[in-house]
Amino acid sequence: MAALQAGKGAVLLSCHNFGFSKLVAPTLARRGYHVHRAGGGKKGGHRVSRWGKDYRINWKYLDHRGDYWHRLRSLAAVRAALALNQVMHISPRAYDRGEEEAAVQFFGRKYFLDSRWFRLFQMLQAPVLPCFAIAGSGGKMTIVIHPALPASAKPMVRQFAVIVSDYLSRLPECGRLWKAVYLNRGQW
Amino acid sequence: MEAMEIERRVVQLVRETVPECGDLNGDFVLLGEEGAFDSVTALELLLALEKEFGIVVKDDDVQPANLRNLESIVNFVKAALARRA
Repeated sequence: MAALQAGKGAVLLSCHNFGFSKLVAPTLARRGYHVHRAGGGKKGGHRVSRWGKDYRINWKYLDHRGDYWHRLRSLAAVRAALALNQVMHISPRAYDRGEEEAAVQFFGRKYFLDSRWFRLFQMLQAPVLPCFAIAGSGGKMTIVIHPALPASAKPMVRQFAVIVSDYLSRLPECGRLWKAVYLNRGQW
Repeated sequence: MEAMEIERRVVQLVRETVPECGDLNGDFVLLGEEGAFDSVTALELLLALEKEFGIVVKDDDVQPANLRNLESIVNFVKAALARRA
């Protein structure tokens, strides 16, 4: 991956079901990359997972849910992985409120990406590449990795929000927020 | 390094990281759920501490006893410098 040539690691940025951890991180790990997946939804703290027949293929899951101190340790782990020129796979959380440049269009409504991640990426200076796993006909999955986003936080989040909005308009079945949409919830 | 000098440099780093930080004396909480720094800004401060003092903040170091307020951060830096020496 050309993005790793600068030696500052690389961030693959996904969202919804476009980049779920069961696919992108293990697939890249199988191709020889050191991959960490950061996200919520996996209780039990950080863990190392194995994938495929070859048990040497590992990828690490960083659970950034939890209290302030756990989140801070997780961010430090993200930084440490990037310093080792490894790949981080992250899906920012969505909120019902946020900054306008972080707004993603979703079925006539908006939700907002967590801007803190983009501040972190700017600080760590790692290239950030939008990454989407797309299901094709016949069960084939394709991982699409876009060129790097701008290095500054605000243009970075703005451009990613536009890309996410486009994917969601073309492939709404990959969205995860249906329950909130159906119930017309203000809170995502 | 003198304790006063460490404190002066830590205060400077804190103010550079969050310029609108108020009175840092007493138990003004810097890091924590109720603190002035969100987790990303806190990481920025940790990186600045590492660079300024040539110390390494390990995973186990990231806890309230070490980093909650100015006093605990200064004590942590002193201990880290002593470990390094």
